[in-house]
Amino acid sequence: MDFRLTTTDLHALLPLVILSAGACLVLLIDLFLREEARSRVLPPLTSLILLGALGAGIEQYISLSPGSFRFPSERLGPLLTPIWRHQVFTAVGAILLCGIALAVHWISTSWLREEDRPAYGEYQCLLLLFPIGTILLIGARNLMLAFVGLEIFSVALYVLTAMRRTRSRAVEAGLKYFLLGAFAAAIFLYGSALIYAGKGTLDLPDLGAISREGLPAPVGLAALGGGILFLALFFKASVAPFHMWTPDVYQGAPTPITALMSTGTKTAAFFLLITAARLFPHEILPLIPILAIVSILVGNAGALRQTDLKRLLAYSGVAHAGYLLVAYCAIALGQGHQDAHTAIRAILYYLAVYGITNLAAFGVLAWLERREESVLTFEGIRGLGRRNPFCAAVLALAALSLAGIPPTAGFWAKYQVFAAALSAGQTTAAVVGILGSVVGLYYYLRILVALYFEPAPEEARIPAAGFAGALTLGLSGAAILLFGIFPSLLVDPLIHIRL
Amino acid sequence: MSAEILAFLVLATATVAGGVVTLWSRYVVHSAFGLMLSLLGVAGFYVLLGSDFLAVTQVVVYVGGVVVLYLFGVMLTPPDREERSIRRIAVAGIFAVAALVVLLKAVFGMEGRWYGVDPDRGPASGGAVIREVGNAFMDKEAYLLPFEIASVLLLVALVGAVFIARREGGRGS
Repeated sequence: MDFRLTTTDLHALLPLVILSAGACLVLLIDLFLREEARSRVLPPLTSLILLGALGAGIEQYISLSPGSFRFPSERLGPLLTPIWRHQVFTAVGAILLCGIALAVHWISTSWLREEDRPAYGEYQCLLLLFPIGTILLIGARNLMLAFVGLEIFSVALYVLTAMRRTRSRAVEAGLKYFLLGAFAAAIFLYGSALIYAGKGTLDLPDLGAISREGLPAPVGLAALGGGILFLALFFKASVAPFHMWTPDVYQGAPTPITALMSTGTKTAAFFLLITAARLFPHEILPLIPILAIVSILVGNAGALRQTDLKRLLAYSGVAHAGYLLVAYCAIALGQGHQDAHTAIRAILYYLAVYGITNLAAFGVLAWLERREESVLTFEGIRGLGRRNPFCAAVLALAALSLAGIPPTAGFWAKYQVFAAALSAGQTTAAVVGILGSVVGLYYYLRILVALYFEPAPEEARIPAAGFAGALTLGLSGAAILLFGIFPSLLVDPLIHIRL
Repeated sequence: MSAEILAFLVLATATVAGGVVTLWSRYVVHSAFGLMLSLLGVAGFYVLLGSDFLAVTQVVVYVGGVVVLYLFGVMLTPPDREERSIRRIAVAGIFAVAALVVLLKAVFGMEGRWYGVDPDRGPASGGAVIREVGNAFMDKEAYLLPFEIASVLLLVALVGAVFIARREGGRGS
């Protein structure tokens, strides 16, 4: 038996290696710095590490795409073949997650400086460890590895949620998230154990291979385990009725962390939902469109009543999980191989756009929030169009994109998701989704009205944002428009995805 | 009645009795000891199935670690005697019965196919199991990456615990 790691293995794990080495480096350097030096040294170092991992992901993407001639043999060694998915799919996930972590890092630098005793080292170490867990979840070919990844990013998020220990609301959110999340992790593990008892393996079967050869559906314990496993994943993706934690935790967590939670966790959970699709028990397949419909209804109905913007975005996140599930119906219930791949591309496109849009929205909120918490209601953004046109423009673009109005990227994302569902014959779910997004218009447009058509309160002062935060907002706003006007910029790179 | 069946009956009684005590005891300490009994019973099952490695791990991790941690937690938290409401018990009972029905249906839906357990193989001799675990890491199933990556999980937990539990006066002061 050959136990050596090959260069291809190292190439496959490069983003993970960069991130974990970087996290240790940040912790070590933090030890030897004085308080003033930390704020100067650590944030740029973290940016550099995340950029490195992002670059590694992009490099993997390029070399794995067909037509590339740089790595003719992309076969993994014997140690990684059974357990790791060295495919465009994983590379896309790594790019998305490193990008999200980088944006959250940039949003949070000026915010972190305002804290009483900023803990740069620990905060940035955890921020670097988060994408490791999510990338593991995405690349795993085996439930055991997926579980370890799930735990890594969940534990990092629990801690980041509760990092402002002096505020009771943050502690409450952290505790709530921790208890429910630990329960979900236990359920995930229980499901995996039952799957192992039923099938004798923890492998995640390839979508393409299974649908072609028509392997038998999971029966008995394996089916039960699959169902239980999906409960945990629906919890992580905040699909209704497993969304109860979402509003409280989103509200209580520091705003940049809420951005990380809403984009990163949802992305990772949906990537694993895709790779684990063949484990879903066939008896309860009709549940998926029902869950999609319930999520859309609950999310939109909940968002209508909110005045707190973070809670509003939390409920909107539940609705967006529903839209994603509409496309997921095509993977789980669709007959053809082609349907599944169209739906996978639609979901990945949606996740990328939703990530960019939510980062923009929460970035603006993090900018406005600072110490006073009242800013986060509709009251706080009144007349922002005159007070700070840049912030207002980015928030307006984000709201339009979340509502799915052209020419923003959100329109194409919704279009692809519903088109994928319709072509797979999932008419009911798609129609409810379209109706739901019409209802959603109301609260997204309320944001626009508050921004531009209401008078600003008197002595309202906007704090200055750091360069990195402004850059992130500018970039994400530009991306929303760019991908809205030229959707092929984001569609074409996803064409090579096969599973 | 063979010795194996007798041992199974004793262990099963202990496991279930421990579970019942855990659920129904009014004192958390009694619950923790009931849990310990239950976990020891499960360790006994592992021995019967010839998986001595798993049995030792069960004793070291759960009985030695988790239950002791519970007891420390109980010692350090003030007591809270909340009366149980009948309604909650009823709701929980309904869910528990439903879960039991689904689980039983799934077990009987297996039609005797337990892939995880090979009924023809007798209890493995000492050492064989450990060798198989070792092989699973490096050879057949290649669990080396999850094993190594678990260290990252420990790092996250460690950093997180220190981050949350550090003193209010700031670090190192």
